[in-house]
Amino acid sequence: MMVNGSEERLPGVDMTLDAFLKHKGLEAGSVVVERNGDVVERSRFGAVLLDEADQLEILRFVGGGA
Amino acid sequence: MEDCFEIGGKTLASRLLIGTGKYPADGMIPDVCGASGSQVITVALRRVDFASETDNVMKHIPDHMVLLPNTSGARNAEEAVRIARLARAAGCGDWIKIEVISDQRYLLPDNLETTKATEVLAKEGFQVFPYMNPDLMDARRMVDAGAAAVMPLGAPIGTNRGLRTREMTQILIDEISLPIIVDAGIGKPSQACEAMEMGAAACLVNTAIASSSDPVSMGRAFGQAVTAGRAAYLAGPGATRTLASASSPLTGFLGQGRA
Amino acid sequence: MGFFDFWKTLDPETILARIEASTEGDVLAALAARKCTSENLMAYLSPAAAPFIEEMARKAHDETLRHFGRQVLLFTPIYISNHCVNQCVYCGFNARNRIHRRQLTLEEVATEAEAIAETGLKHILLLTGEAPGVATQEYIEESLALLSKHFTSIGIEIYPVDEEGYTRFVAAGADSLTVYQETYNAGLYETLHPAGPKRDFRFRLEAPERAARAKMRGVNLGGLLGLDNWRRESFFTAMHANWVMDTFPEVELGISLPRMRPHAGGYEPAFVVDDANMVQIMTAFRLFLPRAGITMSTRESAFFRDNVLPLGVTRMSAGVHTSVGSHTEEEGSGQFDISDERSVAEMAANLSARGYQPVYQDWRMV
Repeated sequence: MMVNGSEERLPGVDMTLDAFLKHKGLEAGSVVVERNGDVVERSRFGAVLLDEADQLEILRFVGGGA
Repeated sequence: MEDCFEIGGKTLASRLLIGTGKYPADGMIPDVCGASGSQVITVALRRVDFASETDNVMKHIPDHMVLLPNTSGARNAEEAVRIARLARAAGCGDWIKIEVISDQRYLLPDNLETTKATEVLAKEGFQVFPYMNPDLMDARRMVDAGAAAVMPLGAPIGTNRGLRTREMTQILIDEISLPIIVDAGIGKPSQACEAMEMGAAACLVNTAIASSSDPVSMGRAFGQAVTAGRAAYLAGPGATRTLASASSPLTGFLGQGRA
Repeated sequence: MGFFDFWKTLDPETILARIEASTEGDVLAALAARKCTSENLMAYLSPAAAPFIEEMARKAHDETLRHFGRQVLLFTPIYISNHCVNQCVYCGFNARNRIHRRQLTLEEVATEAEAIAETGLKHILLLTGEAPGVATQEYIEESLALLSKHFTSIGIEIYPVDEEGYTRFVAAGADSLTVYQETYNAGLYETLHPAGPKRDFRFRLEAPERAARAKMRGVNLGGLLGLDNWRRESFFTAMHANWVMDTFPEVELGISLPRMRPHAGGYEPAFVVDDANMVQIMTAFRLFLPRAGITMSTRESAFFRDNVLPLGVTRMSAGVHTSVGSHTEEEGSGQFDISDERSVAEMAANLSARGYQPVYQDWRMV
């Protein structure tokens, strides 16, 4: 699985996105996720099952831009 | 009569927008928000860095602030659209500032790509705030594309050089029916005041506040400057007479000749 | 939203009241304003502005100099048909007037064109009355094609047609449309046009925007000064011009100030517009629309035309005859009496003597 451009192993089987974020120490409410090019609605974090072939982008708001 | 600032479907009391970048410590942000009176704050969207323990900027943004995520990092319309959709998924509203910059030397915006992104995102229900290089034709296209406002740069990002684009920005203020928010390049409160006196709807100031040695005080000063400039604009300029007595008046012929 | 929808929002009584209520302070504010607004325009057109005409003139002169230099475009009208089915009470071509009705054959159009071209003019304005069954659109198109052989810029001042018609005129060589609303006061308009297709106020009002959509390069507007209160008429004219500029930014906008003159029907204008009023109107237009062309026709005397040159005139007619075929034949029945009868050569010499360059050709389509 690719996460933010780096390779990662899925830490477990039947892992939901929600569980994965918890595993990474992230609050679901503080990030946005793009899975295989599509935005994942936050309400679906608990429903989405991750796959080895997934490409995830996990982003958050930061200070900056102009 | 109350001066209401209606924009993007909201009514605001302050015409100063601020940013979150370049602060020595994000912990200052709430005090700057309070001191400046600003109600809108911009943020960027970036990958979470798992390696470091970076604080979440959202923790420092007071709840009453309206979030204006920007698409900084986007080099073309497609990337801007992608970032906008992600930003909206954060659930903080549907405002988006389009920043499409493929010029890394000056950080000047790409008007063409910005217009394309505006059109796509406006159709998807975003309140779109395009950041652009002031050009009347491009501004018209952004209006037609469905923008909620137009944000011309005063000077290149981070330069603090003030209203270098004064003439062109004035034309936008005169000709474009949407709110004109002067963004980028404002280095001093007097420049923000001037932009408001020209008739701008609002100013967005980041670098000048964040890089000041006392951001909270500078934020307060900018808030006051924007209020002063707006009040001056609404009051209208005093009349000054410039007539010098004419030796050969242009209308002297009236009253001679036949009627 | 067309101009008609905007026009509907302008209440004529309120507007006149606001114009007349303008104070000296309003006029001073207008003179000091960075950019002339509609409110400023009202002040400029108000009675309170009368003592400030010299200042308005100076400001208008300054604007004109910066945007147009010291150049005046010369042109002449060619009337190819005075047949008319309308009964406009103020016009010499009124269907009820017993005048000699004449329409040039295409051969005669060509002859007239040659005679006019001899004078050196390159810009021409083609006019007809409103008789679409006689001066048909085809006839006008064919005339345009003939004129294209001699002139690089051809305007049309004819009966209003639909967008398709304007598209065909553009293809045939027309590059500007002149259409005067006569009066923007709909109630008055109705009484002035008792019969004929010209009664359709809205169709005429929307002619400029149809022409603009048909890719006509230029549009010229005006109210016939004297029919209604000139302050109000001028304000509405300016609003129309401004709206066209906003809606069709690529169109070249011109304004004329036709002032009522004696003519065959003998209609007495309800309002007198004296020379000072004309200067006030002209400078107000120049200040409100700094880049619009202003045409001064030969309804005005040579004395007047010469003296308003510095105030914003950018186009003048010369060598004018308002009857059909009269560039080559004896004078017939004109649309209105001409006051300035100077020939093209005389006008050119006169302009030069006053420090203005007569321009014959502004540009040409390639």
